[in-house]
Amino acid sequence: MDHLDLSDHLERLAAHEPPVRPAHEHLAAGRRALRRRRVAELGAVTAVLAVLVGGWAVVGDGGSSRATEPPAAPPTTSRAPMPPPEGEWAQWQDGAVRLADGVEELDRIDAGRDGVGLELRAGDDVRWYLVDRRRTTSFDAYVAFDSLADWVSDQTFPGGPAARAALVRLAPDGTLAPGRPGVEIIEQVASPDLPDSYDGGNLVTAAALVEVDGERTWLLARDPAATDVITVALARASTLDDFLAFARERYADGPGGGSEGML
Amino acid sequence: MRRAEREAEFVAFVEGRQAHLRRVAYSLCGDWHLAEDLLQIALAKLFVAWPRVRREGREEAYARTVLVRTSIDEHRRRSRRPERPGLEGLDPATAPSPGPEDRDDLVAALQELPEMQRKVVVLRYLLDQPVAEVAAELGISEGTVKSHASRGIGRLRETVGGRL
Repeated sequence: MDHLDLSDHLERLAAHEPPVRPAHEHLAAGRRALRRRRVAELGAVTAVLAVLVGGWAVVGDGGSSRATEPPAAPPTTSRAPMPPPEGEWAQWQDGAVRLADGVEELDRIDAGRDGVGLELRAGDDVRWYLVDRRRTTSFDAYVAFDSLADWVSDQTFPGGPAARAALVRLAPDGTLAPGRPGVEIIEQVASPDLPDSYDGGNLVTAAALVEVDGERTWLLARDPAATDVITVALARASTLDDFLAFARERYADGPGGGSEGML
Repeated sequence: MRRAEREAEFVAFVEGRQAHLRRVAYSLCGDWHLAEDLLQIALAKLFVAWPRVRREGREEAYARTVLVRTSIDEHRRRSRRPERPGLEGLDPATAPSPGPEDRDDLVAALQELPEMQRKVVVLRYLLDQPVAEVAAELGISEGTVKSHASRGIGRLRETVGGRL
């Protein structure tokens, strides 16, 4: 076994691989990532200006109660030549979130249970972090989720993905029914017209406005055999038609659209 | 760089190199679905950094670096959340992965290596990168690269050497 053997072996994988995606799908995903990056950078500049005007740079403690002692320096905008390992940009230490050297905080939101969601940049990379006393989770920013808040919401959904899938039952005709007590279907549509990138052209699907334990959310479900359920914040749309338009746009194939999803 | 020029260059790169890059991703993760998602992440990040990376002539190296850096993290994340296959990267309609009978022996053996050994073996032997470049890409010393490479390739030989 030598270099040539292994390099050749890599190319021999071609015999078993599925077809590649059209390049324009990757272009659409790239456009979205670029747009989100620019929005984030604009937000970061605004935040730095706000800090400079206020004369305070606040480093939070990871929960709803931010530290109030004033650090001397404003957030750094310098970039490290080599970002730290992806899982080590932030950690919970002594009751507070500590950032590794060279890591810049772009955004921070409360994630409940004394946790905090962070949008961090190191070098050219931007990642989202969920940090609390029990765990540190990170994910590439912008790719599969629209915002830090959406990603944190997904990560912290009570009971995890299995609990979300159990919210509803999807019948073969596309009808949704509550999957457990505390879930009410407010409005629904069976087999909505959605791009193939979501329904595969033949999966059973449904969209709905549901109320879960007193809170309303948009919901998209597919495939009764292994029900996948996506929930989307109520603020994303004002009507079910708006929600479907949003879903179609997010799952659209072809130039100007994207298949990286709607979460 | 004008938008149209940037996009035309990017599309040309994707059309020419995405199959190879996805095989690299598959070598790292052993799953075509995950490889597709890793590729999507890498190419999206490449597009964001395109003007600088293109100017430096590092398009493929940049995409490959993102693949390597992302693969382990993504693999762990998906391993924790097996209930929603296909939804993480939101690529629900891709073709199913080949079954176990089609799973490549070498790729399967690679998945048995410790993380850093796997990264080093992929970069050093599959992609034939010099030791110094592997060290720089992974942020470890050249001596550590050599050590991981030696151990990793030794374990691969034990596992599949006779069948290659």
